[in-house]
Amino acid sequence: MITGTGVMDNEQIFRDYSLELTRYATGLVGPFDAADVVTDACLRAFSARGWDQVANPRAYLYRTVLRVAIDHHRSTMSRRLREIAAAAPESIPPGEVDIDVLAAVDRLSIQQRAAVVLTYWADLPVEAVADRMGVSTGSVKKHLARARKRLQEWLS
Amino acid sequence: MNENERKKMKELADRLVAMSPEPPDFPEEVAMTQPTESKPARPVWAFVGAAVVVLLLAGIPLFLMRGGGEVEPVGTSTTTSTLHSSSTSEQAVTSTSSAPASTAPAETTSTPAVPEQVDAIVYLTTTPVGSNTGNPALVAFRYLMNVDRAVLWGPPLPGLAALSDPDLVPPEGFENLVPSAVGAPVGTSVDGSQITIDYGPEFLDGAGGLLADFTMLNQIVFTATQEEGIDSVQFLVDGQPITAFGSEGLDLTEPVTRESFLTEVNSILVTTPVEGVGHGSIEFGGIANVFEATVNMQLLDDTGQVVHEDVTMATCGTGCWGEYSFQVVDQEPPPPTLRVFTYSAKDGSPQDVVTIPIAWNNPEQWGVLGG
Repeated sequence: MITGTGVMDNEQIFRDYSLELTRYATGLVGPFDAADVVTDACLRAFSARGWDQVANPRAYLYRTVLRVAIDHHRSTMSRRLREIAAAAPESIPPGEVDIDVLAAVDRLSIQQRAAVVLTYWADLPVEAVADRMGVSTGSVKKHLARARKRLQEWLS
Repeated sequence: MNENERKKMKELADRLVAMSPEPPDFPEEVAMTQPTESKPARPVWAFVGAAVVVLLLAGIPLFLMRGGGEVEPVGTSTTTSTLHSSSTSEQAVTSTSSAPASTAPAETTSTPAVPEQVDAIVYLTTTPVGSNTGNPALVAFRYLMNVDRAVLWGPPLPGLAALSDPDLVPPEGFENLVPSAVGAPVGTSVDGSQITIDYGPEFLDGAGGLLADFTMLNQIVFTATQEEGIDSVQFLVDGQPITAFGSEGLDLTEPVTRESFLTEVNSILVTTPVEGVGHGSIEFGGIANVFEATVNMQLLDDTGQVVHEDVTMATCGTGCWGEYSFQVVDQEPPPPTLRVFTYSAKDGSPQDVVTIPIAWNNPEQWGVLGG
């Protein structure tokens, strides 16, 4: 049962990690839905059976963000990009949305995005990336290899 | 990857994350959200006791089996081995079969949390002896896994995470054909009677050979459909339907069920784990498609000698799959090995023999150390 102390702990955990989780979620679903994904993930985590048993809440939250991002809407970024393309140029706040980057990343699966963000933005070793994604190190390497292959145009 | 590519990848990731909005506010719903209350892990005898009381009061001896295939409902053809048994112990054995398939993590206390375990039913495979077809058998085991793996990976069924648990070491003679590279599902969801399992691309490689691919799929499908009400599995990879799986490019675009690949398994499967439900007492069951529906079992001591045997009739046979079950009580000393088989209609020799170490993961209940 959650207690007053438990709620405060969750709020503290949220304060501690919401910023980095939002950045991570941005890497997974783009800036449009990142906040929603983080909120959903935290709600799911804090109400999960066994949450009070979790030894590493940070790792748990990273994995939950990834799962929520996968569930969220698989084509959200594509849809948002289409909406932006159809919108009047003056309606797009300058500097907030990097269309080129989003278009490139849109070619990747959510798992590939996670591997790329955790490896190249968070600068984590492959073992830590695997831990936060809940997959083997071999899977991380394959995700990265496939991501690089799909990003050949960007890389060249 | 050269240095230039690495820089470009970092630039891409940095520019992507740079678009990050402000973090959301702490969701107010959290204060209103009650986590599902953790329940203390209960030993099997607790379920036995509670179920005995219920059954005695109701006077309705129920024996619920979870099977698969084109099976007849479990019926009166199921027999009970009651060597040295008493009526009380029979009821205790029977009632345990209705115990929950998984145990919730223990409730926390003010003391530091000890890594808890949840039990997950997983299907592992073995090569039967005396098989006409050479097809592998599936056997359900109750596996204790670290709660962090079950919860963190978060599939609705701990068994799905267990199949990818690197700590899972199958008992002697058994294999887990789900490659470790596959990892746990990246997404699962249940819609009605169908569970959707979304794996990473490593899943597409299969297990290395057509029969191994079928067995791997059967392991997952049987594990995923162990809960009442879930009958079919839709496989996805990265959210996309699978048009070519494994070495032969199997089409998995349509949902599959326990019946889908039954032609690729042994004639006897154990779908209810061999449970030690008291000192020297076990129960187990499964499905079989054997001549005249006759299923045999033997218990072997540590020298390999048969110390107990029994026979039962499945609810269907000779061309159709039927359910069977066995109960054995008060074996002293508790034998370590179980064999399930049928006798050949041709020459009377044991056929499709599946050998199972009883004590694997439940030595306390059965009374045998090791396994």
